[in-house]
Amino acid sequence: MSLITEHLVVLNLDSPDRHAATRVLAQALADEGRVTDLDGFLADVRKREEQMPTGLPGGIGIPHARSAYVTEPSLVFGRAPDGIDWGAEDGPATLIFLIAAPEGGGEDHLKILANLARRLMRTEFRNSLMNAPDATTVVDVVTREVVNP
Amino acid sequence: MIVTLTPNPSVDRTVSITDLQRGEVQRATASRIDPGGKGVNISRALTAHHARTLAVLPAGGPQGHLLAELLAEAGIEVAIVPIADSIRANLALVEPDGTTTKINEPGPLLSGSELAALLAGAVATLAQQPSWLVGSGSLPPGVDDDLYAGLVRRCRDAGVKVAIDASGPALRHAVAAGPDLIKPNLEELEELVDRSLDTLADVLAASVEVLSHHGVATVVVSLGRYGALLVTASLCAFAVAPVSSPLSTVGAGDALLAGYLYATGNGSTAVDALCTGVAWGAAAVSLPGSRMPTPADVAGIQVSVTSEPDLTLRLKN
Repeated sequence: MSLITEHLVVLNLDSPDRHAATRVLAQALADEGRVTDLDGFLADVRKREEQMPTGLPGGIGIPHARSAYVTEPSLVFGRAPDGIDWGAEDGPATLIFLIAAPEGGGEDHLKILANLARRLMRTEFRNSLMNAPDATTVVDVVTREVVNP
Repeated sequence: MIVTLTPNPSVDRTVSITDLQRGEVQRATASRIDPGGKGVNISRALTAHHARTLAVLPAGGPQGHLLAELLAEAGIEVAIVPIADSIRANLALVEPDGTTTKINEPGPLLSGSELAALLAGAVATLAQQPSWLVGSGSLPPGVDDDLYAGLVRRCRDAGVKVAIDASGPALRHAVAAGPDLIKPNLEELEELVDRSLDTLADVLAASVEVLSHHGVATVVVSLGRYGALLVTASLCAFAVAPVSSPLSTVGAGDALLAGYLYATGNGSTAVDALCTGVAWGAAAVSLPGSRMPTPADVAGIQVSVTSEPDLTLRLKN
């Protein structure tokens, strides 16, 4: 199954803070049957966040976790036009990637993180996600640049 | 427990290509990513031997998250000091005949408070009385050369044994503070004593000089395929292990130091620890990339050791 689908894209994320925003993105995973216990999964994400804040310079948030409540490697994309504070010093995040990996699964999420880490440095990549008109375009961009580069 | 401090960790990407051609688009035949940094390697080797270790390191940026994931994957206990800048992503291009072209980034700029937090993170572990604290590898750009020297003093105050594996000014400053152990390779020892060392006799003389002038208790010099020399105030030993099919020398010195510290932590004598270190180092050379050896990798390795080595042994061609 695909890492990201149209159902895993939230284009108008307007949550008051990053925990609420993460919950919205994780809910998309639960709705698709990719997460079996929403609160359990969110606790795992928060644990990782406590180790190291996942807000990055340039308006990016990459919450992620390996969790027993994840049934398959997944990537949820959220776009927050007004920005949500994600702990980065240079300002709020507008592009958020929630990476979910099953416990004891393969190395898929490492590849996603590795590819994301490289792509996020590029303004074109960020702009194409900023300006994507619909979920299908987002899935195309992410699949081309991050999942199967 | 053995604590490692890696001030300038990295994510190491190894890309295999058919042959390197400047200015051309080339297809990779394989690629892998590994957590990198000398202290990180030591913690990886210890973890592979089910020994307790804690890796203290800064991490930031997307590469920092990748490093944290890679370390979690490897089951390594970490104390991460979050920083704003991104840690290094190093690249190694490997051709089929083993020729390796490495491109290392300099590393992140740490703010004063981030640097203080990193040092505090290492110092905080002293309360747990680890058997060793190791400071290992290069310093990020802009960090004062006396970082390791400060670490040595804090460890001595706390009564915790401290080992330093560094080069250049960082090593020189650390040595002046009197660490329990340093593990230079030939080039690093040459730089430290500021002269060329061509034979084992030269290396022994340089090691004794470092011991007597600076109060370093133990010098372990890693000499690549020639083996390793151990020098303390009361003894000298030289050990070597044959490697039939060397694959990668990357991280071999880190494995050697990890083996030495592991063995002394388990009550071995210095000479036995040297043999363990040389065995781990030889095992690492037989593994690809910066893979660290497991007990199974080390099991078959025969180490020969002597307290009266041939001092005329030439170490350069």
